[in-house]
Amino acid sequence: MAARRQGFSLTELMASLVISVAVLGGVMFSFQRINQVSRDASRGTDVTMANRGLYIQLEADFSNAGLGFNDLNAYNIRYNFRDGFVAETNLPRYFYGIADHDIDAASGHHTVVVQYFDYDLAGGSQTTTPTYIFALTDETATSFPADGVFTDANLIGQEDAIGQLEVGDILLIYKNEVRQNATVYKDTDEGNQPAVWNVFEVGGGSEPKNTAIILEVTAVGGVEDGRDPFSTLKMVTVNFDNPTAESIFDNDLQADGLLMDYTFPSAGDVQNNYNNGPLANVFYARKMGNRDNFHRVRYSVDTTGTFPTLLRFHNADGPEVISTNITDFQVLMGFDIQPGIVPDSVMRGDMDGLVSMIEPAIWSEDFNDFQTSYEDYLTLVGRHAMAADVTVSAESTTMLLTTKERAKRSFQQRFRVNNNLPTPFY
Amino acid sequence: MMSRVSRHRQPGATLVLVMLTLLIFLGMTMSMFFESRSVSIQTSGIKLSRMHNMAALSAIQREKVEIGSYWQDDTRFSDLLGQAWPESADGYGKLFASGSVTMNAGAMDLVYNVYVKNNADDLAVIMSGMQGYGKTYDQWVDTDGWIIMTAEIFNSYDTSSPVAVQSAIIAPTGEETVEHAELSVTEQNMDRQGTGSIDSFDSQLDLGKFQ
Repeated sequence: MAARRQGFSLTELMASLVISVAVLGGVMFSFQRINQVSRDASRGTDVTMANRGLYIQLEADFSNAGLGFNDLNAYNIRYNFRDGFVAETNLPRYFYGIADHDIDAASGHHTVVVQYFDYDLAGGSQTTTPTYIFALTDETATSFPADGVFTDANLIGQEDAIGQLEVGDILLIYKNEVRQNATVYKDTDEGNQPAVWNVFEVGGGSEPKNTAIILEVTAVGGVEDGRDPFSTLKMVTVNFDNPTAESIFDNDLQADGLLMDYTFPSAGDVQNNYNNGPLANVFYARKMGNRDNFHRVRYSVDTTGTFPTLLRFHNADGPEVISTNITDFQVLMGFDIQPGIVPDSVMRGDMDGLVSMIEPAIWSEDFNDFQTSYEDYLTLVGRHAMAADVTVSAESTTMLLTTKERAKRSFQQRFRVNNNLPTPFY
Repeated sequence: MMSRVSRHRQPGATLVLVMLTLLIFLGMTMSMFFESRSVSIQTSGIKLSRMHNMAALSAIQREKVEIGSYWQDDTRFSDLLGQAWPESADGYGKLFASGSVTMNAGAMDLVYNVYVKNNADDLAVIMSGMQGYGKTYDQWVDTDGWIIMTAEIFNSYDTSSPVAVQSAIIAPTGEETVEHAELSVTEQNMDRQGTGSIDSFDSQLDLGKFQ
């Protein structure tokens, strides 16, 4: 007879259960711990990733700053946004790639505004951003209206270029004289000469002139033959004073429009152009793109919510959330001039010529560093800011499971600003 | 047949427990692996794109010095633009030079085409077809001394579509305004004396042509 097999006794069962519970408990504890560490790590990673996104955005924005008009940065470009485009209490006088740099006294966070166009430099198969010859509609006109403001104009160019004009196009109107004036561009060795912007002939001196303006086309007329001496070209009449709800740029420049002498080239001028270099007395209208090609980007920290949140505002769109629970957002601008100079009196010798991302003349926090007014500082930023140093510190919005603290991350990076000193045309 | 707790030991239960544990651990490992891999792919994609764009700007820098011999004080870049070189199908202008560039410590072989074209706001472009002292203006006549250089970058193993295209305005001073990030340009000799460093760039109004 087979021996009766013993099952497990109750004691054995109880003992094994106790051991199992202990082992399983240990395993469960380990799992929980691993899980916590892993979740904490991903919280930290989230903060890192949000800030990495910020730097990618910032790099693109700073490297595009002024695109479309920064090769013409000898000009003092006047403009006015339409009401409601962006909330702006203190309109800077001139249009630059870096349009604002300020610090919020209460929170200590910075605000920086960058603007640029999708200007098509190479043109591709067919340029989408042609330049036209600009003329006042009154053929006998010898000067702009007293305030430099006009409501319509003739644009002259090739037929296909004229065909590309439509409502919503944004034009930069400038006189060629500024970028080829021989007295403006002198050797930098002459340090006691005024910097390009401050040469009287192109707008400097005691009364700075507006040497260029930005207007938005609000109506386009029919195509006709160009006026003499451009009779082989096509011409169209455009309007600037019938804005639609989407319009961005206003033609009401608050009695402060284009303040240069109006001229229009003769047949002789055109013939001479090839041999004698570019025409000084011709006005150009550069199409910088249409409304969709203009980008005004503002980075600022919103402290009104539960957590201070870094927002990126693009034009009049709703803000994009970059990172939450910001503890520090600091943007320092690197200048090629020392503080204490007002924009109108900058001399060539004041510009140190070599701009380093490591050692600029000054890393400036705001206008107080320059001992100038806020408005003057904005002009200086537009002309002389060559680099940006951005520090951002952020914490996770939830506590870490292991340490019961917030995950903290802090980053610093320096960027080249796409700013160029004025270059003459030959 | 009488019931009993167990006739045999049941090793299967232990196996199931062990397998389950292994499965959970494996799952966690894999999820971390895939998460880090996706981050890593994203990062390297951005790096690669930057390298391509840097290569394009470097190509412009490299070829820019070669255009000096075409400059003439009275006709500016008209001789350069008037050459009978093949034209880009994408409208970037005439093929000025081709070459190769190696990035990433030799791991990346790239080839480039550099094209030259007149700037859109040259009066000769606007006035194409008009006469000026026996010279008919067209887009290949330079009246202002500025031109656009465009570099197309290709992988050396696939020259059918470019991986990066960059353009720059070139003026006879040697100054240029680059359409996109200038950071990479500063890696090349921005001071044009062979002593440039990554953190500096020369912004002097240098009126010596093509130094």
